[in-house]
Amino acid sequence: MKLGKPPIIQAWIEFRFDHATDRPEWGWPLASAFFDQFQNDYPEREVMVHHQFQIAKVESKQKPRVVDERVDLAGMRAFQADRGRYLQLSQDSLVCNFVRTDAKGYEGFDALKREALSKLRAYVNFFRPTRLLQLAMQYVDLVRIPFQQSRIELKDYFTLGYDLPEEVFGPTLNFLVQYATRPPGSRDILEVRLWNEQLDPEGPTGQFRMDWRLVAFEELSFAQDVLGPRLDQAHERLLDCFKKSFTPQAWAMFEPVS
Amino acid sequence: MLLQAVGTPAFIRPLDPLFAGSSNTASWSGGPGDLFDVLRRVITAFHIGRAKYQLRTPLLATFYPRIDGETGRLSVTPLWLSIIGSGGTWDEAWQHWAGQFHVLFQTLLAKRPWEMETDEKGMWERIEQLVDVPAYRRETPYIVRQIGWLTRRRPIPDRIRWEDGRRERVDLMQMPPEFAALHEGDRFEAEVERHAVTGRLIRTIVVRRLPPLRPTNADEKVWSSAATTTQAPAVEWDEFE
Repeated sequence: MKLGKPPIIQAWIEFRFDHATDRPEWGWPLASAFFDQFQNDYPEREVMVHHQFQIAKVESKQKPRVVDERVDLAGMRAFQADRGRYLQLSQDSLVCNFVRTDAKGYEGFDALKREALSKLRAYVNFFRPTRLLQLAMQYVDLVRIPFQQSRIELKDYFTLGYDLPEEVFGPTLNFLVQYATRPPGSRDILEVRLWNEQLDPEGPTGQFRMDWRLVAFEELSFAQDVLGPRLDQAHERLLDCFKKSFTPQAWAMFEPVS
Repeated sequence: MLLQAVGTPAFIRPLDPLFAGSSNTASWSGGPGDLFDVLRRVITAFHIGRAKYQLRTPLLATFYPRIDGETGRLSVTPLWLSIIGSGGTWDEAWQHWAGQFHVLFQTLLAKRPWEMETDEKGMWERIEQLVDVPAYRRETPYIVRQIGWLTRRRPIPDRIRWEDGRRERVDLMQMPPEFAALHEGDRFEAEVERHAVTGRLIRTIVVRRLPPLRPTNADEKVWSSAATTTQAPAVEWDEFE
């Protein structure tokens, strides 16, 4: 299935790990050392820190005592100069993101899978985790639909949703639909969220964001011949659900190539 | 379900990650999923130049690359204003969004309520929902131009009489280096940063010495050439009855 105008904005693969008790202490030096291996491919870096304040009990009319502040590294990310690819690290997680860019567009699932599996190998060699706790795959799409006389009938475009009787509730201004399901024949969890983003004032065009997330907890392994097919399976599942969430009229907007 | 396009954005947005209720939503909005979304950031306050905007509720700013030709769009949730940022990256689009917001805020802030049009009143109400305006007024110093005289130089220059008659004691730490070179009685103009509520001097940005206000020969000539009542013709009051 190939689309001439795919609505995808971003996709990522997340790995969450379990570690032995003797793992090196998480922090800036450890995260930096991991990213140093990929300095050429991911030259830019950002960090996310948590400021933790110590609140001291004081009596009334008593001056506050010295309050301690601790700064913890919550996460670190390295990325390419065009911000098309990101590699993210937090205490127990590794994430590979691909973002649609002007020059490259979206690079596709095969490239994302290759990159994620290669960085997983590097993580396993560097941090020596004991097992893979969770695997998640997420897609973010933005679907743009022009308004017809200031209105959009959602069921003409989406098969997801829930109908509110207009005679009771009045017209819908904003909405959010979210489901968590267990796909047939699987122990994974699939989450989908559909909601309307801010209007494009130049249209006016309705903009609908869809988040697709599949989380797997079982049958996970560091072995590439296990994980590769697992990712293929997750991708196929999300793709199938994605396609079936649109009516033929909406699907035609993406200009499918047969 | 029919989605209605409205001219002005609705006050309440359905997606507000801080108020998302279910465990699934919580795990997604604010959990690991959202932490790793590289196109989203949560904004609690931001600066444009010297203006600091403290938000009443955090904004979730999302960048959508390449949805409109070459530049992406940035939109915020909750949506209080119809502002969309444009740019090639999240940072560029955010700067564009914040710049537009800054212009709107400062334009409306400069107006009294009766000077606002109806749509401007509506926008100001929305801004007040978004930004802690009293905190902004309280925490944003104002800068004024003042003229004054140094009234005490020794042991260090520390006393000023302003043109409006107010006297002020200053600390050299609040003053630019040129101030230390002034002599007693020197007249100067200054750009002064003051606390928005108390008017307390925070710092003086620039001091420029001004010529003293002394009568000159030219002034004397003008003064002595001015007509006086002694030159007025003698008249009888009865003439005007």
